[in-house]
Amino acid sequence: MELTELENIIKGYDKKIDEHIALNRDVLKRILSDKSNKHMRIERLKTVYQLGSPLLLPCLLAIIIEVMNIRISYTVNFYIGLGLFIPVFLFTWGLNIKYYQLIRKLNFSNPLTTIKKQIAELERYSIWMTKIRNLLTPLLIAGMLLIFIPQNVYHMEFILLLVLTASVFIVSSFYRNYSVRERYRVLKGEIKEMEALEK
Amino acid sequence: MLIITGYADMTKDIKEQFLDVLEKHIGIIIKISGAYAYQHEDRKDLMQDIILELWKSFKRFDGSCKISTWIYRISLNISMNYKRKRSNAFMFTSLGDFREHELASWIADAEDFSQLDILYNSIKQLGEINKAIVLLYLDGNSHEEIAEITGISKTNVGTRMSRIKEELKKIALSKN
Repeated sequence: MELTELENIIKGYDKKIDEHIALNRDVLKRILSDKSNKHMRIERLKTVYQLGSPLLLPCLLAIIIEVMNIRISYTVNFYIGLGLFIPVFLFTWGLNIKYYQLIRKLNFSNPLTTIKKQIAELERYSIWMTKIRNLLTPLLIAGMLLIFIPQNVYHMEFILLLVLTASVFIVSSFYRNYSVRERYRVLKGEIKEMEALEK
Repeated sequence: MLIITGYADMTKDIKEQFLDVLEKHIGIIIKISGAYAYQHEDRKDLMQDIILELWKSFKRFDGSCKISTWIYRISLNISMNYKRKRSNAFMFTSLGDFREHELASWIADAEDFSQLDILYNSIKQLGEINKAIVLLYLDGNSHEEIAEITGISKTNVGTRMSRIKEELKKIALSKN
C-alpha cells in the first residue's frame, strides 16, 4: 500500500471526526474529578505500601517474639545477628526507595526516545535490584537466626541450615543468570538504538 | 502557573481549559489509541489512560512546545507502554477503571471507526517507533515536527521514512 492511499484514509477520517465526534463535557468533567481523585488515592496507598512494606518484617518479628514469648538473650550472637540484619535490611529498603524515585521521575510529556531509554534503565535497575536482594537474603536470614537462637550456634545443624539456605539462593540466582544476562543485553541494545536515533 | 498560548483564558477554570484542548485534539487520541490497541475494549481503555494522563500533566504544561506536540508525546508514550503497564501494575498504575456506561456517555459519535482498520492493518507489522513515525507523518506533521515529538534527529526521521515506505510496499505485496 502506498503512503498516499493511507494519507487519504486519515484525511477522510479526520473529516468524520470533525463532523461526528462530540465530547459530552458534563460527563467528562465529572469523570475527571471522580476518577482522577480516586486514582490519586489509590496511587498514594500504593506508595505507602511499596515504601512501608519492608517494615512489615521487623513488625512480624516483634509479634512472633511477643506471641511465642521468646526470651532474647543479649549475647554476642544477638549483636552479630543484629549487625547482619540491620545493614542488609536498610540497604534493600534503600534500593526500594531509589526505584520508586526513578519511577516518579518518568514524565510522559518527554520525547519518545527519552521515555524508552528511561524505561529500559528502570528495568535494568529492577533486575539488578532483584539479583542483589537474592544474594543478600541469606545474610538477612542468618542475622534473624542469630537474633532468635542466641545459644551456641556453631553446631553442625545450624551451619548446615545456613549453608543450605545460602545454596538455594545462590543456585537460583545462577539459574536465572542466563536469562537475566540476555535481558540485560537486549535492554542495553534498546538504549544504544535510541541514542543512535537521537544523533 | 499554566501558560498555554491560546488557552490561557482567565475566565475559564482549568477543567474547562483542558476540555477545550481535548475537544480540539480528540482526533489525535482516537487515531493513536486505534493504532496501538487492536481490540475495541482495549482501544477504549487506552483512550481513558491517555486522557487521564493528559489531565494529570495539564497543570505542568509550560508552553515550551506546541500543545499538539505535548498531546502527541503523551498519547504515544502511554500507547507504547500500554502492554507493559498491564504486566507491571506498580509502574504504570491502571487508570482505566471507567464503567462502561460512563465511557459510552462522554464521547458521542455517530460514525463507525472500522474504516481505519485498513490503515491499522497495514502499519500493524511495523515496529513501535516506526509506527509512531508513520502515524505522525500521515497526520500531516513535517519531519521537523516528527523529530521534536519523538526525539529522533531530523536526518534519522527522513531515513526511517524511506525505509517505512519500502516496508509498507512489501507488506501490501505479501497480503495480495
